[in-house]
Amino acid sequence: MTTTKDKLSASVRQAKAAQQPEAETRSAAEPEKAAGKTPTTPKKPAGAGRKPATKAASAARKAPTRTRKETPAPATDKPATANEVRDSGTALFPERVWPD
Amino acid sequence: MATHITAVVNQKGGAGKTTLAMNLAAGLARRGDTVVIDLDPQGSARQWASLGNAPFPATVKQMFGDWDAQTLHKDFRAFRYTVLDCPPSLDSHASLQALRACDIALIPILPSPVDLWASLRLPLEIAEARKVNRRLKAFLVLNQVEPRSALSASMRDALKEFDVPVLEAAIRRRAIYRGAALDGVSVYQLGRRGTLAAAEIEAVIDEVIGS
Repeated sequence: MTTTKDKLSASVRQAKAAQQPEAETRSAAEPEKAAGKTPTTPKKPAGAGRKPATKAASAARKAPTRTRKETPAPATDKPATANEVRDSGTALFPERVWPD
Repeated sequence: MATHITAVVNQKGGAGKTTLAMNLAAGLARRGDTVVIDLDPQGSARQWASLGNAPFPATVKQMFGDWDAQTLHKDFRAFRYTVLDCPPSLDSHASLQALRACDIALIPILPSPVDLWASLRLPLEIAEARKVNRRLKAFLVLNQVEPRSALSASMRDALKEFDVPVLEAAIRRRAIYRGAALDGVSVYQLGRRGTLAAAEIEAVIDEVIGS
């Protein structure tokens, strides 16, 4: 009983808090709307919008991207079965020619 | 003579606005001529009144378009009480105008968390309406209460978060309210079957009129 009461009150407080910023945004937008202005964002000083590059981010950028080496398509369209070795066709270094 | 205006309002659908409005109007009709203004485009109040074999105790009219408190006082001055059955939206002109025009706003609310969360915007709208309607008094009415349910018992505590007073009188979940709608009558017209429900509506009226 107490749990239900507490949970219900807490959920209402949480929902109320979640609606608060929305209501503030709405009330802040209303005077602008009334004045016939479109909301404008304040001008930022030059370079203010740039984010300082983090070490991790720059490292990620510099890191060479590994592309998967494309293996040539088998020359034959014959599907491989469990007991059958795939035909390497004309490829020089096929990924898998012989069973391990 | 100015008509006394009561708005039954809640943005949440299925909160029991029409049920409360119609039975409230029937109770008020015992005290003086009463009109229900159906502001809901769904027209449930009008539909309700059209179903009965006997005439509904209050006059029911549908109203659309622009209107304000002056319009109501002029057009319905013959009635002692006017009950506004509002649509389930606060974004409609009708609900906001009803809050600006009424003397009393009754907000039926179900004992359910979802209904509580959905109704949280109401206190803000009431505060906004009070800027132009200083006489506005608003009350939450617990509707469809199940006395044995833990949720119902927890409601009064949770409603403290609303900054809107809760009526002591509450309405219990009773099949007779739905039965009355189906028969196109009020619970007052159902004899002994409707006695308990009618007593609940009377308690609401007494508390509101005495406020």
